[in-house]
Amino acid sequence: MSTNSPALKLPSMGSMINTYGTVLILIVLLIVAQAMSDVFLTQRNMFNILRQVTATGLMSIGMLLVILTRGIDLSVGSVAALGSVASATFVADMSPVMGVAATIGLGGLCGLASGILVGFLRLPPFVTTLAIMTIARGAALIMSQGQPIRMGADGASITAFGSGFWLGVPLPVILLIAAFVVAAIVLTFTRFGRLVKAIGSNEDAVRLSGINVQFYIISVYVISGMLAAAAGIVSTTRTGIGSANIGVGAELDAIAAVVIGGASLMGGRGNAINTFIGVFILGIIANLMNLAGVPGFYQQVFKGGIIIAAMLLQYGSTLVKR
Amino acid sequence: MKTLSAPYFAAQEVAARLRAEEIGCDVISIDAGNDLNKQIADIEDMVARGIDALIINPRDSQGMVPAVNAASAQGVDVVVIDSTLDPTADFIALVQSSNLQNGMLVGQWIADETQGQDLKIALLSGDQGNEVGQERRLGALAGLIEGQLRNQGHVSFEVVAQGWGGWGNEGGLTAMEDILVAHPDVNMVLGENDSMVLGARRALEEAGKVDEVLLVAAADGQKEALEMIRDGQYGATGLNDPALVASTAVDIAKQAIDGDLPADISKLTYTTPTVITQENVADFYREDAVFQDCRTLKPKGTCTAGPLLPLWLSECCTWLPNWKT
Repeated sequence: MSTNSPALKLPSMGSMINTYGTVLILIVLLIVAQAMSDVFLTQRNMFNILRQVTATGLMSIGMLLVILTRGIDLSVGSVAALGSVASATFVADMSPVMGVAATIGLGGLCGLASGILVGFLRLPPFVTTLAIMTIARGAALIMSQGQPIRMGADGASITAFGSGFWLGVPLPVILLIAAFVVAAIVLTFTRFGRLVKAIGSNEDAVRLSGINVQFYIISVYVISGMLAAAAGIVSTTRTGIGSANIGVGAELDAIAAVVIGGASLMGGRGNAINTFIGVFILGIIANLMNLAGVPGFYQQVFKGGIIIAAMLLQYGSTLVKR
Repeated sequence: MKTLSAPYFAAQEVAARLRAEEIGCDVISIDAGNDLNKQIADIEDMVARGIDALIINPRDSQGMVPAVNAASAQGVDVVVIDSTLDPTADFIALVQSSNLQNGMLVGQWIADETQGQDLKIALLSGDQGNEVGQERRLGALAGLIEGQLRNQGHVSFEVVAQGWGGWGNEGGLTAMEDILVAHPDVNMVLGENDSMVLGARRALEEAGKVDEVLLVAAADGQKEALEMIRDGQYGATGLNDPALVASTAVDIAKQAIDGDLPADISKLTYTTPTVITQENVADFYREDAVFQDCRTLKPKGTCTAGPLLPLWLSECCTWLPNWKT
């Protein structure tokens, strides 16, 4: 089935699925979801989903950057818990802006620790960030004494964000979309973005061309930590409570979103738009379970099944080509 | 302790420690981090250190049996708290609050409170396959059935959805948002703990429905919930006082060490089941309770901190509730 004139050759089915696989999964899922529940495609429900995935979305941006360098950051869920506790604590003692800045700074410090250990001391990222994960969770528990931190009147300005709207769009959703737009621009159009991808593809080549690879590796972990802390703050603005128990297993959702979005765990491949769609897909799955009233025990099986189906669509094309 | 990463269990640990120090015992406390194997190792380590009594909140009702039996065989007095341990295991007493009976009382209160109403209930469950959650919801629903039969001779309510909130505020909020989209006519929320119902309340606030929906939890009695019950913004909750369970267990352990234990002690001790409503909330609301939030209060005294107790936790303990034994 080969044609003799390459100029007329259409993109093969395989490469189409490769490029648009994530979008395809989203469309299929949207159709199925609408069939299962007639309130699914309402504006209110869409905003619900986006608001529910804001925290995972922010984490997955950082995760994408780290994964592009062929790393992994398992600490994001715990750093989010630390961010939640810290923001609720700080807001009692300082202005909301300062509290948020200090919290994001704290997340950045967690990322800096991972980054130095991985980028500078060359420790394996999996175990290193696993260690930071338990440290951050422990720090959150110590800081909160294991109790939920209520912000009371001090937190009114923060919770206003979690339940607020601008032009009819929930504020957390605006934050989420803005963050992804910035990430997409940085990855596509800046030297930083191109180098991060290049490091994942061929770190030695980048190093030999005189680039300070360590700086970029440390940077992505710092960004990941800051975004994870921001995710924790978003959670606090939604519930009004700083909790050390949020984000358990959230790192796995972030990784799943990035991979469903077509990124390679071997580094170098992935983009922000598809990651956003990956996050959205995970959100739809969870939302649909509740809307359609899927019985409890089956929910987990369905969730796993849908993720596998998504992965097959994403990677099946590469297997077919072999 | 099976885990300290939840307010309820953290409060239990503090209460047990303080009660033990009050009656002159040394305390070693270890957090198993919700890991069955670690808890088994923890017990072995503690027995090796030469403890007299072991108070354990078991991670698993079957899995902890061999370790508990081994500890008892070494002459350690074992008291089990909160989570169930297989009664064939070798221990002195199991102290817990009865989720089923608390739930029954909550359910009967609902039946009395909502006579003549057409109940459409959103059920907020913790996590799938959790025995405690199952006892709580079945207790409440059984109580509701019993109450409606008593009041009106027939049963009429509908559970329109079961949302899974993972025991937390945020989970309750998310699940309720989804349920409200699918079932906008919900007029009651029944949760398996207060945290999830408090989260659901935020979803109702945002949807502008908070005044139309009755909020009820089958358990806990968290401070925020009690404040709202007092102010008439929250229906009722079951009393599940972690401090009471823990301090009762410490007293039993102390009696066992001293050889003062009554010969006829029941292997299973329940704390008294109670439903907290606006009428009796004043008896349970304590400005200073631990399973609540001591961070909002500033430290004003000192308190002996064990070597394993984080500093902040020790600052907290001046506001422990008065012991009700």
